[in-house]
Amino acid sequence: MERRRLLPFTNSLAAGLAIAFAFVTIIGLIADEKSAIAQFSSLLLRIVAVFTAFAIVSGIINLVIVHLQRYMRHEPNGVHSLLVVTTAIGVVTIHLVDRARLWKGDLANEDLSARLFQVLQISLEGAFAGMVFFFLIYAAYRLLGRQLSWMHSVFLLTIMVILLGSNALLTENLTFFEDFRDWLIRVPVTAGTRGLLIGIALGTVIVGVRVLIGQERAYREPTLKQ
Amino acid sequence: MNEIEIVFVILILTAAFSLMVLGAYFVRRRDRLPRLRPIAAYEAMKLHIDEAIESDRKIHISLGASSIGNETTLTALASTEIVYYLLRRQAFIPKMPLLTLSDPITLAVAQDTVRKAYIARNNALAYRGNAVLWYPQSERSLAFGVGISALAAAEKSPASILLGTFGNEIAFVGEMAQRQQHGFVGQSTQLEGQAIAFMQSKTPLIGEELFVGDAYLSDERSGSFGGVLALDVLRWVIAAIIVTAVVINLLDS
Repeated sequence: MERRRLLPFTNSLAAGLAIAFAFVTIIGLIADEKSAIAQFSSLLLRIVAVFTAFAIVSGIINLVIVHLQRYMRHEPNGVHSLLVVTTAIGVVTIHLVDRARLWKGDLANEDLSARLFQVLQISLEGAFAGMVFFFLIYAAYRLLGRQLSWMHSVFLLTIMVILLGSNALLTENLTFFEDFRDWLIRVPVTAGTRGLLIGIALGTVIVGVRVLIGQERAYREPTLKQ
Repeated sequence: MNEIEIVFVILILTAAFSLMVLGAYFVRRRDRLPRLRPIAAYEAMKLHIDEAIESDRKIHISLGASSIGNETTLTALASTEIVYYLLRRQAFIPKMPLLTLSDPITLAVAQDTVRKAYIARNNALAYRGNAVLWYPQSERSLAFGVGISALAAAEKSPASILLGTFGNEIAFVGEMAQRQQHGFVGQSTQLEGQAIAFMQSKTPLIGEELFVGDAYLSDERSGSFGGVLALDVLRWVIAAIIVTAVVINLLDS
């Protein structure tokens, strides 16, 4: 007699809970805001926010462990890992001192962690943003050097028109480029953008249905593959 | 939500569900699996995994800012599905991959995905949780792009496969791949990230192609084919609705 394959209890429990909560959330979104199910759905979302906070702590622990191991195993660029760990400890310490209001003298009542973020993160991001522009121009140039498809040609032509149309000196005399650029952005670019977004939205519907019917692989333990 | 939106949501969900079930039923009744439209990116991904195995180097896969718990949850799930099938291909060797991301909840899901891939190839002892690296960042961060590209370069990864949610930061990984002559497969559900990936990658994955990865990479296709069928039919239906609306508007005017 053929034996039916049973799902492990934990898998069934996880799938059951996920399906039940998914249905509660979807009904909560559709139902009236003041209804009990909508309130319950909102409570679930708040619980998720609490989980996220815990997950960030586990993420930081993972980060520190990974980099400590890299340093201790003398892996290439291990010094960078040590720097990451030291910086993480430093930033957490500064934040704790901020919260405890322990700074004295000129630093009294200062929020140093926020200032540190502004000084380091924002200036770094600014510098990186400048580099992105050059990378993109260089990538466009490299496209010319490799097998050029007609789609790539359209892409490059569009970049040229947009750049020419944005050139104030040129558009002063030749309004054609500016008009053409405006038309490009208003019609084909908007149409393409919407097409892409509709496609992505449909894709998420498919994955959503898979979650709702418990077909998602995340619920299952794997079967052995030879 | 107003009444029309509610009806539309229920209609779409019902249609998607029915088509997925129909597609799976259709495949189970046939002796041969249906042929799918070739997507170069999936072929390239398999090739990059094989290169990583042969060269005994770590393949770099990134999920970017795909995050479980907000609007990119389903993108994160679809991306981890692809990660599972890719890693299952290489999980018979002890070498771990390099999986980078920036959402702490996705970190746990990604670790579980890697673990399952190694269990599937009966190689659970090789699994190490530290193969998945979390880079703290806000929703978009160029520093994240710089960090993961530096890491992939230091590890001499044969290729970088980026799936999920990326903005401009994807440019750094693409640039690193070009300079080091590494493979690069890029995809993003964000428009700017997708545009950059299209320009920098020889085999980009575009838009909704991310969500049918299991049909292209798995060998258990009956359920996955249902998803492909549902996606294609719904896409044509929406295109037909748009064209009909345009024709009606033109006739009215």
